[in-house]
Amino acid sequence: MKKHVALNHAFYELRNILRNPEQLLLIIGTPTALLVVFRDQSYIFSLTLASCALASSFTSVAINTAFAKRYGTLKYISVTPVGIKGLAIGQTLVGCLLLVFQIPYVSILALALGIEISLPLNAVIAIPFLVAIFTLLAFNFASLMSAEKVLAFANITFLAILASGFKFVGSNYSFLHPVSGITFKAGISWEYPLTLFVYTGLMSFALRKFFKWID
Amino acid sequence: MLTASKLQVKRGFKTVVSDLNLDIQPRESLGLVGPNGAGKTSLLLAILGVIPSNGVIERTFTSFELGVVWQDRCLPLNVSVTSWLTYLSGIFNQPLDLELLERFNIRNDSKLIRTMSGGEAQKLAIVSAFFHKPKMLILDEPTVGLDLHSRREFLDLCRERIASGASILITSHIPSDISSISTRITNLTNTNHETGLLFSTSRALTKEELEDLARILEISHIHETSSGYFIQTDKDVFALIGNYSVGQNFSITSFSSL
Repeated sequence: MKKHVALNHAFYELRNILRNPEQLLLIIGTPTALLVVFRDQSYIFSLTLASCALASSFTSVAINTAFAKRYGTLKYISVTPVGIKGLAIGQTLVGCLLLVFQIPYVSILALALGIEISLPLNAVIAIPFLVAIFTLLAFNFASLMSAEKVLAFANITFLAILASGFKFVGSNYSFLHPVSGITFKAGISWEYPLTLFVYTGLMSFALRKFFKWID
Repeated sequence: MLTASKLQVKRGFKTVVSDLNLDIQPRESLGLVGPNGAGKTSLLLAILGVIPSNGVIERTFTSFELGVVWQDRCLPLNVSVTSWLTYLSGIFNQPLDLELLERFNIRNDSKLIRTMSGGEAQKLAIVSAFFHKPKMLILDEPTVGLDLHSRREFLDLCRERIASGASILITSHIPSDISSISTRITNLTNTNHETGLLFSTSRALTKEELEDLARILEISHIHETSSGYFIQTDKDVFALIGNYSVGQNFSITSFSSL
């Protein structure tokens, strides 16, 4: 696949997000609310960043893709040079670009609220994988379910992953720990990025194998 | 450009296309006819790889050389015309064809696609499929919702593209659209998917008239489709149908010999 195709798709999606007030509310409003309401909670900075990644690369992508499938836009894209690769790479780029805006915003807000901030190198390296995993998971959700089910499941999953972050942070075991832990907890070991890499591979395989462009 | 052999397409548990062979060469236009539910759109989806199918499909064009007009248009609704056309121009790496926009009276502005009328959106779908001068065009009921002028422009555009070397696979329920640009026609209601003859009349023929005509033409039956009447024959029967129409007080409004 040619690079300009994925880049064009990413900028097109990014433009659409930035022009949508509901999406902007999700991108800015959610982290703001989390920081303000849970400012006394341990690891709230990392948890807020994880919620940013989740909201923009999972929840939004799953819901938008499911409705794009419902209204046929996905079918249109399927026969263009974008294809499944362009869709996945482009949307992952969108998630990363949004985080480029969100990380400084969350950092400044956290500092203003007196919250300790920390973003270790391994977490920064892991962010593209984290975004890719959530994006690919979102596409798999959208592909296999109706738009209404995706709407419900994506929101429930978002809350479940956030809740697991609160519950298991600091503990040694969680099914979602490798995904959530990397941004939830500062200074964790390098095995997590590796696990994320494996998760990304599995999600890509599932997408190539099972993705459906139409209902 | 496109070859399919022994193609079988299923939707759910239902087989909608079975044992189909088709072949489209450069500068050729194949019309697909058949009533609603005959499997025309499913066939196009299978050919394009959107849904799985059994059989062999060979394509000699890339996705950069393909233009598609979908029956339900499939354009994004909450996007402006400019954003959509800029996006397509970017992914196909081709400048916008301003002449084509003007020809179909599409304004490259910030109007949201969801606020366009059905006809306007259809014209945008046509421009989106044709602007990058694709070698292969797949058109699923492309003239739905078009006014007379736009329909003529569209048919002219198809003929120009065929003359410049493109291939077209088109479905339509309007016989004159099919017959005016197709070099061959395949009827999907025919179990053998062989080519035949398509015509439409100024009024619907009665069952008795169809039986009479079939007897005159020495064929077992005339197939009635939503796009007209289909006869599977290799004989030149136009004069016979013409003579019959005079006696029965109807006229042939379109006719396509295969």
